Amino acid sequence: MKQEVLRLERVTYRSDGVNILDNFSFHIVRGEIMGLQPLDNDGLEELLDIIQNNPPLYFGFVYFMENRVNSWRGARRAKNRVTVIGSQSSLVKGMDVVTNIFVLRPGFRQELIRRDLLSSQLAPFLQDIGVDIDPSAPVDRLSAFERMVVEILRAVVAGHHLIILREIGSVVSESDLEQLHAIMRHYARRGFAFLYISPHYEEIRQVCTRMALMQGAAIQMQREGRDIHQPISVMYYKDYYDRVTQRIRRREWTDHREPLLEARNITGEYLDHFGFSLRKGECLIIQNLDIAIHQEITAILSGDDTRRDAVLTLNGMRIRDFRSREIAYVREDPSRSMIFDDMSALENICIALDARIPSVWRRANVRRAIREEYRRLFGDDIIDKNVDALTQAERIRLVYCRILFQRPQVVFISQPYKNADVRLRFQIYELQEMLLRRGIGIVILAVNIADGLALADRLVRVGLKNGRMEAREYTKEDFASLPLNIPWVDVFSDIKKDQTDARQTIAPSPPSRG
Amino acid sequence: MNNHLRFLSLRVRLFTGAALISAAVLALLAWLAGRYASIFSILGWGWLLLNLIALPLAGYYWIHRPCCATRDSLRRFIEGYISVHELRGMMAPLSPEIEQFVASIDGAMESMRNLDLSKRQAQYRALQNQINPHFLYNTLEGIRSEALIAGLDSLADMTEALATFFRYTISKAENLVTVEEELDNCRTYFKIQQYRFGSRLRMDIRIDPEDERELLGCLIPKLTLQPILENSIIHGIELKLGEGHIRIDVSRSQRRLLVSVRDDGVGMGPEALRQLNEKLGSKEEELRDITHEERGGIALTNVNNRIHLIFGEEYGMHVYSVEGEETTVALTIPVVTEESRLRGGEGGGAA
Repeated sequence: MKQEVLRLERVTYRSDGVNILDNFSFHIVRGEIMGLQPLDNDGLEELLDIIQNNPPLYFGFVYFMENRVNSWRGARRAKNRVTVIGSQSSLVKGMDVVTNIFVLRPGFRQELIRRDLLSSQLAPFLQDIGVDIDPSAPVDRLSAFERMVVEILRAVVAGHHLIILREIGSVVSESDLEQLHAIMRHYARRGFAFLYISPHYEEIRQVCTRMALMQGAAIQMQREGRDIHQPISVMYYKDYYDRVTQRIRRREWTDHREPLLEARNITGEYLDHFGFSLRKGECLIIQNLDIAIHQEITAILSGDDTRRDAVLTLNGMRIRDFRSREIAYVREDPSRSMIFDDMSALENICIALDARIPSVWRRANVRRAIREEYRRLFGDDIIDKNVDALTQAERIRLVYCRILFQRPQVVFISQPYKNADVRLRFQIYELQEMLLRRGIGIVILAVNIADGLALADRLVRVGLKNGRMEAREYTKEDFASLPLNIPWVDVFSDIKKDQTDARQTIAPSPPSRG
Repeated sequence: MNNHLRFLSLRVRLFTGAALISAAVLALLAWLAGRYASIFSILGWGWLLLNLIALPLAGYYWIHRPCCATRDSLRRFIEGYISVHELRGMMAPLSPEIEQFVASIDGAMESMRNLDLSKRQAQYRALQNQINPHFLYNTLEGIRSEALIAGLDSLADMTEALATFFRYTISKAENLVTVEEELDNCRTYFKIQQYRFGSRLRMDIRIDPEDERELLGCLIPKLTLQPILENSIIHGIELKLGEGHIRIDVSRSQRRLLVSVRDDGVGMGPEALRQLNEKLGSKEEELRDITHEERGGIALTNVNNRIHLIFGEEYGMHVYSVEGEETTVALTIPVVTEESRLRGGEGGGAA
């Protein structure tokens, strides 16, 4: 008999007179890993709020552990025993692992905290899941993977029956993700339920026993068991997948472009004489298989950490560091981190043009030209709006537009697809494609390749093996040999197969012996 | 008197009266304080303070909150989330006349519903009388015999399936049947449809092996699954090119029986899906069922309304669909194994 951990029955949630969730029905049973693939972010925050906090409903019923905890007639004010684990840590900083797991949980009554005892209580948990974490280590020093393990253990110890993991694939490497999946399976067998939220179907397919597709704040489809693996499921990306696939197939792949940037001898705590090169209009992905490497490499390339011993050459000329007008850097979540608040969209664009047009603020004709150019490129008229009034998609467009007008030769982009829904992912893909068409070289820095591979010419995977850096380069011909759970690998496999078939057809048949 | 205090108009009158008396007492205390002694001044300030606390609190809890709750309930009723009957239980009446007015609307609705049920029952009886079941089965049996003699085995099987289907649909008068009976009826209906679709149509029934025996004995309203299956074939598979596959899954949780019917037919777009689920959840639709004459057979809304009527609004069906891919109708009803345990179970619509 199944035991329902959570059930939302015909839930209508209204905010400011607008129905955010309408007739929403959804359930999770004990011991399952339920995947939720949101094609957009509509209603997702509200759904998580309803699952955790029981806010007043306009209509419908919520059951937790088969008991009604919320209904349109009135809510139980208490929160549900649910843990949400996301890209940001929810652990209490400055405290150690055992304190976070045992001491801070509700119901801990001991006056005297015996760390040795708590550490020995934690040991079987860690042994169970095959992870080695120092119980006395401050949580600030944990890697993203270790932090998530501690958060899962905290939920397990506190008896939280439902653990929600939200887009964790973008903060841990593939091998860590696999280990996290194994831990999830382990606790699912012990009766815990997981809600695994990820925009990537390939990731959901790896671990989930059931999945739901969410679009426009409604569940469109549910699948379970072997049905999740049916190739037809890819069709749910339909528009996005078809369009990007077509573009991958149509794209011209050439290795005869002029060299643009060359970086050698980048050395740090983890990086050891790391180097890469980039050609004009080329897209290179540097996939960091360890979050520590990612943090180090982003710090160096963004200019926050300058390594004097690195040898950098741009167009054959040696440059001191990456902080140059010729090199732009798009930070993670640019809609927040790269927008100047309380300014108009036009001012946000002009602020980066001082090097190209010194008197940009005094010349109305320049600003008019910018407005026209923006409209020509993107077709909408947001240029005079205050950035606070812009949507996330418009803000991202604005950031890329600013970079485009700035005319750099190289753009470093950190985790561009992180937390982006399908619609936004396609927009980012198009914006990056636009930069490439103009001959700008792109270096994508990512932990999870996600959708970047669709645009990439080359891939460099950097990881740690026995504490030492290990890097391997893949050209587009090698993409087909990457693990199949990476998005778009199957498309590259098909292209390779087609090319092989075409070669076999063209090749002259061997002369007959007769 | 206490019973009358639920009327908002009386509360407003009492509140206004209390405020006027309070103001008068305050004025008197102020006059006394000015004329005689400071003790009246202290009393005056105390009275003012008491009223500043008590009156807003009384106004908020006694008038404002019930008004807001009534407004919200009315809004839900207008938007079709709740019925008149539920509205009666939720709203604070303005006056006895308005309460009577809402009660008479509810009564009229109930009469209309009863009238509709009687009408449906009469139609059903008339159909039974017109087509004497025994006459129908004998005739079908005759056709089957003739077909067997003529060597038309498939025609004989088809006739047998048709007779079984009619026997279940027309003859059985029970309101609730077992899952096993419903599934058997689905198999019979599917068999009839297979003569039309041939190998283009496939159906699997999966019952959770852990609770199979128990699940088959659970009670559900008669003719719940067959209309959903019919819907999947007619609106899902029939419009699709190539093979179609339908799967019925039956499982249970502690309190709920979970049935899903999934087809890989043409599916529907997000907007059509939203409208369908809205229609399924809407109380307006129950009203429409009564007031509108034309109804194309037993539709999903009809089945859902019967579930709401028998088991309450916490149960029912929800549809999931992706255009060009698949449609799943998920049904939840309480686990009932004995009909006597179900209060008011006979209130369900006749088949």
